[in-house]
Amino acid sequence: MIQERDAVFLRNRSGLFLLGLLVTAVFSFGQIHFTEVSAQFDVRGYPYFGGHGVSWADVNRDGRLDIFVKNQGTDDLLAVPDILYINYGNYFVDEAGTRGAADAYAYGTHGAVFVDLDKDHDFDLFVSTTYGGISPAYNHLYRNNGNAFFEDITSSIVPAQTTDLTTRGVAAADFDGDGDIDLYFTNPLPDPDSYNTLPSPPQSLPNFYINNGDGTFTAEYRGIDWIGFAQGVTTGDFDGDGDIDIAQAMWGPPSTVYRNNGAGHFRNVGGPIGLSVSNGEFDNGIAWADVDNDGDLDLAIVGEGRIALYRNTDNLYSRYQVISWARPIGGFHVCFGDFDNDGDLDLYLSGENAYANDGQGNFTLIPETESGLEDSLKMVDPRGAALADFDNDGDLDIYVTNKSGYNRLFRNDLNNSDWLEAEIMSDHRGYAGGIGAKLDLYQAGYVGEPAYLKGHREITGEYGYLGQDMPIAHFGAPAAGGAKYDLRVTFLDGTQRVYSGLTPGQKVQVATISPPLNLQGEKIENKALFYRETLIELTWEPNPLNDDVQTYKVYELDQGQNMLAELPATQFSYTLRNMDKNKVYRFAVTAVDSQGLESEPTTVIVNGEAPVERSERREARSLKRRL
Amino acid sequence: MKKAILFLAVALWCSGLALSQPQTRIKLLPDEERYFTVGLMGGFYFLQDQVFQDLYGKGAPFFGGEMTLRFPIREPHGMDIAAGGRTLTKKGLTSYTEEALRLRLTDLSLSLRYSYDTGRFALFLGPGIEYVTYRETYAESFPIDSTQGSQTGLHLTGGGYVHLTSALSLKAYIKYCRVETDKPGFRINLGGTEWGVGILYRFYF
Repeated sequence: MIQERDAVFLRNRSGLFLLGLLVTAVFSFGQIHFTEVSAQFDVRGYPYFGGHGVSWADVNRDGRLDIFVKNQGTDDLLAVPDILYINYGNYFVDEAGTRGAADAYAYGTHGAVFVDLDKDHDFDLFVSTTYGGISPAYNHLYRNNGNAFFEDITSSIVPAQTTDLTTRGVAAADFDGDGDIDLYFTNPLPDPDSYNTLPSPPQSLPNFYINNGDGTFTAEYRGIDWIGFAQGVTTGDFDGDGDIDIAQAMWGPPSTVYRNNGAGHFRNVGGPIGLSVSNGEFDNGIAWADVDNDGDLDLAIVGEGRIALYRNTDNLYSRYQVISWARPIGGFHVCFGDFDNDGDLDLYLSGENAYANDGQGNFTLIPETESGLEDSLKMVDPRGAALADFDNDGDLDIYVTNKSGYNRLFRNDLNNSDWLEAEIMSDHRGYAGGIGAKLDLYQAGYVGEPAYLKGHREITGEYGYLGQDMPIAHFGAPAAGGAKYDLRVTFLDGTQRVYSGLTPGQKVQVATISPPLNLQGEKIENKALFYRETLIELTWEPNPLNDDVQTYKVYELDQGQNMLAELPATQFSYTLRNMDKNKVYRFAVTAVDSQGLESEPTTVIVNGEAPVERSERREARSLKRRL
Repeated sequence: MKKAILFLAVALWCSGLALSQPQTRIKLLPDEERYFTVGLMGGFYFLQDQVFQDLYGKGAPFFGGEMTLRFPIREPHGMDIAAGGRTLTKKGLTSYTEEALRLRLTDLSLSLRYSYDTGRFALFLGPGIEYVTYRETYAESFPIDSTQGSQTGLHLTGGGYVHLTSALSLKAYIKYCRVETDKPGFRINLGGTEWGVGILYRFYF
């Protein structure tokens, strides 16, 4: 009898234990829940409203993400300034005016993208200015001077701007693969009445600012016709061929994808890849994200009260889910982020609600009573949105703009350690942010094996409808069982860096190896009494961007690349013996990191002039005589 | 150079003193006899070449020997035919890389000199020719092991003897050499000033 009672007790205990395990498991993966904190942090925007785009970036490099909000003016309220909220930890302050980033155009702005245009490792700003009847309405370019004071350098693209523009979405990336950042903008024409007019034939207008490499840009047409009014735009390598493609949300014609041929020339491939059918008349947002963790970019198109989700299979898209909502808002921006840090990307629609991913890319509405997004549903005319971990607690928070009411900041309440973040401090060309870089998270020890891929991110600028997430890749990375991860970063030129054995709960700062600086070469005569030897002494300086240099490689560039030496990281000079004093030589030095990644070369030409004489002993004697 | 001029002045002064003395000679040396001396020399050779000075320093010690055949003309005047040789070795450093160098200069000379021999002292002065062989050896890091060669030149020498006994004399001299070579493809001045002293033994015949 006692034994039977014990057995029942044990069964009950087992059941309780299992229930406890289940509960623990549920909470260990976290729940999606937000708290609206815009008033607490003073980021609600201005009473005259007009919020459209939003971008996150740490513009003053203080380790805290700042917010840039684009405001549109109206006929009743002109010259609405943009907002630059500087993050001071417990509060934000709008400093757009004092920092030179408050666009002065009467009808305001729509899109913007933070991007490091000049390799100085801060975020410059490209802002679209939307024509509203007052000329000129040119897109603006601002250079960050390093501490978030912006200089208007629109003059560098003004020669390319000969007409007023109705730009909405903008994009920035190295489209032509030449190593510098180019700019793309939508609607390169002034007529706002053309919103609903389809051009026939399509107009081939210059809608790229191609970077000349010297700080100036040239406006060019690169194959993207103006076929109708365009709203949001995004960039990514949807076909995995190593270049940056463009997707664009359209009014009228179907939203579409433009494939890059690798040289920065684009072709509309929407129809052939499965986007031939329009989802509705007015698409506002478009986003690429790998929602099923298979390593390619799936697609979401937003507008007309629905989100159409397309799965990427061998670079072809097929629509597999449509999300609708009851509230009569048009639908603008769709965000993808792992809000619960469970390893897959969840979804948030601006001004609506959050949706949980089942791990296969299928999304289920999370009622606002669970998600805490009641205030999101109260927004009258929500527009852009963007994700960032503004409080550095490892989860993704949301900022949403509102055209007719206050903006909202939703703080994620997850606060667990099941996350990894990767910030590209310097990409293969030395740009901060790493637009175009791909980041793949694998179970530790399985880099490159698709079955163990835990997340795929591509760094982009704007996406959806005029929203730019923080330029930091965020992964949900459950730590249960002591899990560790390997992160592989692939830059646009194909070079990779792998960070192995990462423990969840940390941010990885990714920096490619940058070339050494100030390489100089000098011919020197080394004298014996009966022999004159010509030396070439190469000297360089370490690049302060590098923190992981293992060796320097020295090359002679003469009908090819001939490696002369591999030197330790502590050595900053190399002497070549018995050289031809009359010959012109060309040398290169690269830096190599601990993973074998080699920087771009720094080169120097040593001319054929006579070698210089240098003798420290003679100089010492001369000095002694003078003294 | 100042030292050389000073030395010459002192020598001339000494010879003047000797000439001003009564002509009763101290018969250390037999009159009107030819003699032949052999001697050992040592001293310093100061090369003029600036590169040499940069690499090796201003001078280098040497040792050598000399044979002199004296033909009296009318005492105390006479002519000497002298042949000698010296060798020097010096270590240095290359100008920029400061790698080890080693230079050996070997010098053979033949000179015809006027001599004035008072019996106690003798002075001489005369020109001659030089034959210099050189070998410079380099460190392993150098593309070649060594450079060697030879070159002829001219010299002018002067000095004096102090006759200690009828067979033994001390000698001090100065010699200015002019030897240049451009065989490596550039000009090197192997000339310079040689200061030396020696001891000589005299044979009569």
